Amino acid sequence: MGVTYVSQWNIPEGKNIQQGVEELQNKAEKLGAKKCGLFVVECESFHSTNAQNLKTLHTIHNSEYPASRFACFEDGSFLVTDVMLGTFLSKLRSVWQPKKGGKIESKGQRYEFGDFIIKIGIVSMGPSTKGIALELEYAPCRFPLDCWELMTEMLHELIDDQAPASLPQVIAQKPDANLAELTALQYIRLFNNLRKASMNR
Amino acid sequence: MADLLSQAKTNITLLTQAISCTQKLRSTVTNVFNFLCEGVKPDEDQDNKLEEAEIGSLSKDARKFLQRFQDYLQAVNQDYNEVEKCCNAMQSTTELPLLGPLGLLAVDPTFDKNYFYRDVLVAYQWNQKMHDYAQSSFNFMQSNETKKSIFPGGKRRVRAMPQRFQIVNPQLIHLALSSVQNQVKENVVLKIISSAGETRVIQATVAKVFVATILLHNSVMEKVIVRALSEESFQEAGSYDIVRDSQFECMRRITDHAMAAILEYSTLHQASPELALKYILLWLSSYKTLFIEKCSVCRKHLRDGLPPLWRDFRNPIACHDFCRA
Amino acid sequence: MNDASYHPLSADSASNVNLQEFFLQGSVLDGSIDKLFGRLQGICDNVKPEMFTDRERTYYLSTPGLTTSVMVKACKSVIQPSAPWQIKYIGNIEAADHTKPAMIRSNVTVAVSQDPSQFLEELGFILRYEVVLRGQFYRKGNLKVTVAKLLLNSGIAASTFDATKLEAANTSHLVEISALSLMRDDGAAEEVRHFAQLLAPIAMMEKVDHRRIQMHQ
Repeated sequence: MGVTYVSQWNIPEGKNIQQGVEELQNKAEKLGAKKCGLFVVECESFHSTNAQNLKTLHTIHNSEYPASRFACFEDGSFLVTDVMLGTFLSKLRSVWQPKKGGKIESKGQRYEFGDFIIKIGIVSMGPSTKGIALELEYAPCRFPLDCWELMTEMLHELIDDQAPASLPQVIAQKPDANLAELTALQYIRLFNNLRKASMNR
Repeated sequence: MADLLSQAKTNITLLTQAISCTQKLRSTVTNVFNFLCEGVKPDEDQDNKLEEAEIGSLSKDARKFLQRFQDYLQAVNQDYNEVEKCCNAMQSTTELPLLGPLGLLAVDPTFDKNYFYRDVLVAYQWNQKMHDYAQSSFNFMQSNETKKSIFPGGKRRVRAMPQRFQIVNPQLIHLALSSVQNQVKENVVLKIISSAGETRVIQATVAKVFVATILLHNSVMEKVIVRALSEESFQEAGSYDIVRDSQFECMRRITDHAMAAILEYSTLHQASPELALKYILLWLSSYKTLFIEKCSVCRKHLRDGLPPLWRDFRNPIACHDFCRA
Repeated sequence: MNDASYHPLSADSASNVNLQEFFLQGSVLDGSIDKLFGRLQGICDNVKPEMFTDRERTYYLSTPGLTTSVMVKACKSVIQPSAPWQIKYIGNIEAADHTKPAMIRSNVTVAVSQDPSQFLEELGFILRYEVVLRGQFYRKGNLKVTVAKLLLNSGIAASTFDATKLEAANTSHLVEISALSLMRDDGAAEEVRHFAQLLAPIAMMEKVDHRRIQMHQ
């Protein structure tokens, strides 16, 4: 469990998603990263049938934490739970129902390089692919503010011009939060952006 | 130790003496009681002197009785004095620092079955003798020095003295640790995890970076393991893990450097291991900027995906392993 | 993890097991509690009974357009601070079914990382009351037997919890025998009933229609 940065990787002009993933994977392998299994991050969103409650509930499952589920409200409380969360929510069906098209996932190859973990995933909603997600985790450090500079250097080497200029908003708002929470929140933000982008198209 | 041993020997002879004296004392005391039980006995030649005044014979009997009673009591007194003398001659042995917990072996009632303690004592004596011999020969050689080096500035090689067994009071180590803690302040937090006999496990948490586990034997460092803050140091059974390496590449490399640092500092400060411990902790505290500081040579954070892991032993500035040269 | 053939777990493996809890409840006056403990010690598995002190907050979520509401309990052990918070969904109790020897309810327990009250409030739940259960826990096979005293937190605000300021709610102990089993397995119900008979006449374990109690209030 370390400091994690999640973002979308914009595919270069004239390439499809598959080619984009291959290009990114080549970059990682050129750096010296080694393939290390697969990963998946799934997100399912729920909404209330009660019209007064406009909040959206997101549940996240991350293969890095196989026995945990994360439940969170946008800008609200965050909870780490065990695998029974799905069953629990199904019992609340009368009030909390899965959103239409609320299931979205990022799936792909996992790389290790030194103490970095690089994950390159294809984001898909059902049968349709939405984009490419890049996750970079620096495992030994637990304090985002301390190792952010170090991570930016790594990101520059990996994705050059797409590297972020500053600390992601999610981390900047609460740098002392649980690291799994920061990861989950970044994924929710990423998934929301990709959903919106596909709706506008 | 040698004088302690001779002292123990005299004590043992005194003890046997005291035991035999006590036996004597018991028999004389029994005599007194037996005598008192029998009471005043008429004298054997009483019949012949019946004519003599009755009062006179009675007082004569009594006088005789008293005399014999006094003799007996004097014997008791004498024996008692002897026992007391033995007791006073014995020296207190509570101050005797037996070889740590090994001393308990000597208390083992089935002493005949094992000879550990005896063997240990012999080994200890030999070690002491060897050390004394080395010391005196060293002094002797120094006074009759012949210069073998052809270089004018060539330094004489100082050979390490043979190691001496040490018995250190645990309180001294705690004292040393707390004084070291004062010097490294908030950068390093020291915690004694467990101590068994002369061995201690110390956990040093360096700022927000890592946890170093140091194995101390007396005050000599034996092993160090560096692990990330997120790694669990306690095993499931609740015991402290002093074997497993860190799962992170950078922590494993720092562990290697720290082992080298232990060798370096403890050979430099052989005479005072506490000083070596202090320097190690100061050196470890220079890692507090591990993830923050750039390499002082290549001015970058990463090389092969690792932050600057090397800190020089004398001047601890951040540097990549391969930027050293 | 380093194995190349490693495939991450799917989100919904084994989590959708639908369990049912068969149970019977009864109560014992404080005066005869030692008799019951003795009896339980004799007939339960030969392990030391476990002492427990649990906080239990009960939340309700009303469904728009429906009269029934969803009940959820948030529980936390007081004497084992390292144990996590739990959210327990407790379904409607089926007591009226005369063919079944015990009452049935569905039960889903989720362990959570921290105090779930904010989370539950955001889900729309409303806190009704908080109690503390202090008692002993026995087991026999897959049967769970709890004998607990109901205590009330005399502090007015639920946030200021103080284990020393608890008052007994009444002069009796609550006894509950329960067994978890799969949806269609009635063997567990029979087991619960049989065990309940062993406790007679110290404690009479019966099916209680909770709705009727609530109606009388």
